[in-house]
Amino acid sequence: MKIEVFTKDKFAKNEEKKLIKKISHFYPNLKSARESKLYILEGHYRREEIFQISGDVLSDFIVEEFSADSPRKLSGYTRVEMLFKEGVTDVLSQSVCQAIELAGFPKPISVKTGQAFYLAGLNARDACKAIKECFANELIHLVKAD
Amino acid sequence: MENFIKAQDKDLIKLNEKFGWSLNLAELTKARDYFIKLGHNPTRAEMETIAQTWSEHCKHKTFSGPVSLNYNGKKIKFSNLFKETIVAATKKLNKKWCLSVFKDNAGIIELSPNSPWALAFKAETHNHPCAIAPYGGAETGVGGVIRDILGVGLGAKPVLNTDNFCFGPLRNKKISSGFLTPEKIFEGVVEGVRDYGNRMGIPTAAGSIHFDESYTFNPLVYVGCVGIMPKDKVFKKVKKGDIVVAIGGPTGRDGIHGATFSSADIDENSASSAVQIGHAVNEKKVLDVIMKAGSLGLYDAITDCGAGGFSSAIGELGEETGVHVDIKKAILKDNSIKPWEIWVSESQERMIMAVPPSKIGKLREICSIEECPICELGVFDGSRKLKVFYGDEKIVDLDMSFLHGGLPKFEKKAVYKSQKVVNKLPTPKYDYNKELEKILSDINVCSREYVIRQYDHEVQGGIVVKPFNGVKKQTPSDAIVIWPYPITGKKNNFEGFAVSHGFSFAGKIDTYKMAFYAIDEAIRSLVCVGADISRTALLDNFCCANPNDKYVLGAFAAAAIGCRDAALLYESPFISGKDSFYNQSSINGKEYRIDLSLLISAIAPVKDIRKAITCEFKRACSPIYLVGEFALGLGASVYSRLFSCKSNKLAEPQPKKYIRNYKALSKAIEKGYILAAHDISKGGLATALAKMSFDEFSCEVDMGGSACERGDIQEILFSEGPGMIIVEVDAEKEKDFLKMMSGADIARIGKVVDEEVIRVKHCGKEVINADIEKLLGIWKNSLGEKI
Repeated sequence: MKIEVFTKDKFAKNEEKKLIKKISHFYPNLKSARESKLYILEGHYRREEIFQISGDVLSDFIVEEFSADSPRKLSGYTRVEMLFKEGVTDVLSQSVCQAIELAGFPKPISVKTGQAFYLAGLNARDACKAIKECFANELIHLVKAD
Repeated sequence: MENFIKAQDKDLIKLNEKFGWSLNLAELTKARDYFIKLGHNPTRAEMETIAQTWSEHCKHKTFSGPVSLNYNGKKIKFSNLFKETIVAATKKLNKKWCLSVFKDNAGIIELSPNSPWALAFKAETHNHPCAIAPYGGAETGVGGVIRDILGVGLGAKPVLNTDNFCFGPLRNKKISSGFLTPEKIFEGVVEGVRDYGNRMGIPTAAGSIHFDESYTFNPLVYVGCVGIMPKDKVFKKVKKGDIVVAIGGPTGRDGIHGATFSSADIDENSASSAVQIGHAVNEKKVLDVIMKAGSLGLYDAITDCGAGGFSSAIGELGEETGVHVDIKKAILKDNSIKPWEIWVSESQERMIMAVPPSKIGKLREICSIEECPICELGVFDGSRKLKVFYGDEKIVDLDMSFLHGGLPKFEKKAVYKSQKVVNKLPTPKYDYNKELEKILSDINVCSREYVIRQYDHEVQGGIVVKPFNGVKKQTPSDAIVIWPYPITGKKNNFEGFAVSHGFSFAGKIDTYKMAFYAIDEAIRSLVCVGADISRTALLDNFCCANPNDKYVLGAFAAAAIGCRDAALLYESPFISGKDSFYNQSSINGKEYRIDLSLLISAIAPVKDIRKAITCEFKRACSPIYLVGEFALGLGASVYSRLFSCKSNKLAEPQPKKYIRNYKALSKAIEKGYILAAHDISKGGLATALAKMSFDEFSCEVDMGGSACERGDIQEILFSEGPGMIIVEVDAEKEKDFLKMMSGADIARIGKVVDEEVIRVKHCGKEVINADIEKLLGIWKNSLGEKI
């Protein structure tokens, strides 16, 4: 199950400004940009448990919202995922596992964490390159566009 | 390893490349001869143990080796460069307040003669890991230096993290494939230091950031930590029969070959297994166990697992007694890991303890409460041998004397030649507002607030002089002052300590003088907050390119001699340090090298933290004095770089004069005569005056006739030479101040004003008349705009 957690639109101006400032140096065609936190959760959970975990454990309901059953819906954007490569220690995932268990849910079989970027004005190839150049370290990250 | 003892030299070199040991031929043949004598081939684990123990990272074989130096035509021989420079100064000074120097994980000094507390200080570099994985590299760098403090003596409590970085210029330009841009490195490193320090609950406060082209492919990341410990816990001794105990995180494949990796150049194919990821929460658990177990005396010795992992830590602790270990008992992340990998893995957040059998139960109990993994790996058995098993299989059986004393020494050649001095300056003029603005916006001068505000410097509640001070909290401090009462619990005892740093680009011109400049800056910064500089202890952290190049080693040796001479003249001993070589990259056949870089970290007690001072002007009409003569010379200055001066003139250091001035000024601060003090460093006098004016009051300064005769206006305003401090004197105590400073070099240069402009006159003409709010805006926002 892939869970995306992202800042609510009304609080996302700074996040967008920062992303655009960084990426538009290299890709001036970039029109708009957003990002989400990604949690790939493996475990035996019912649908309502997934929603509870997403809402209560993984996101801050005041400033964030989540999408648990399908990718976040943003039309006109190219979506790029950045995840750790196999074998790279994912410290955050260890904390997430523990937090889910402490919140009273069964312990996940595994959790992977990462980020998803949404870039408007760039095609998949350029969007992927932009994330690689501006955010990823290809030694430890895997970057792919949808 | 089949046929090792029969291998020809060329085969040894091939094996070395294949396994990434970073040993040279002389070392390989020494190892081969040893096993020929034993009559068998080594195991993989034995060769890995030798490679990491003999690595530059662990043995510092260049700095501790013989060097033949040609210094401007004069031949100087060193049989051990380190002992004959850095250590020699400390030995000669023979300060009784230095409790442990150069032999443990950190240097240790007394907090004060009557205090039961001691201070441990260590600074490390983590350059190569940060070049390829900045976030993880910085995190593990911080984690490592904190463990040094946890593992010094019988364990100190970390109370301050320091961070000093050198990066390539931030230009948002693409660079060679396979290398990260300076922007990515910068952000990753800052985030790594932030996340680790903040999560551990240790304030990150003292530091600096420097930018230069030479760091584009080879960033420098100096991380430091100060700890406080009872004086009676300064020494450790492993006893025969003690159990080898590992506490902390599990062992995985992380960072295999970290020790040997930092002994080699970086290229486009540098091994990814050298990357480690830190886990601050695990280290916090380790810290909590050590604090409890240490106070109960549950172990005889402790050290951290750093580069080389178990191999290094257990090998070092067992150097005198010998040790028998079964690494099958280690807690693992991954069961597919091979025995030799367990032995040399550099998984983070692990410590090794020597625990008496009678105390292991209590230690286990504490670990259980703190949810900290613990395992017993073996025993310090008195055999004077290093014997490592994986179950019944023996994987290492080495004589300690060979492992620690067998490293062959060979003399390296070094050449140092001083540059000819040129000093061509632009034609003087009478308006330097634009120059001051440009300097304040320069990346080496502008505010580091963007970085500093990411760090928690308030945690633990002991910080007195903070990174930013004044009513508006926007004036930068020269040094940090900590009051350790949250640890000591003594609220009526106002003893504290100050920490500062010195770093100079003067090494581009003269590395000998660079050492003086860096040491002077560090000590001067301590003076400016009111520390007792008669008890200053120093750390040296050298970084340079490949020392097999005689000119690289020449620059290094000249700086080491400079350190020795300066330490003696300033009467400030070195207590610890580290060197990092091979900071160079090969790209498409071209070598990119860093210039020799030296970070000096300084620590000194503050007798009464209530008398510590900060640098912002405090009161209108107070007189402003310059302490110290003008040290003129624009060589390696920000002005010189920005305005294309052809000048490599560096002021001649005069430590005896400086120290006389500093001592007198320290007394004046102690007496309460001084309201503010700030050293003149990057950007020169004009920049220093502007920074002091960033709070509520500004200044009006007239450099007067004597200054006119001394040098050109540019030199007066923008020289970055040593020995100069601007002070604001309490007007009511000016006479007392003058009396106390008799014999010192001082000149009244102006007064504090309650205005929004800074005015500077030179030879009767106004050369700066600038709006403070405008200057502040430029200074504050420049770094953020570049990211």
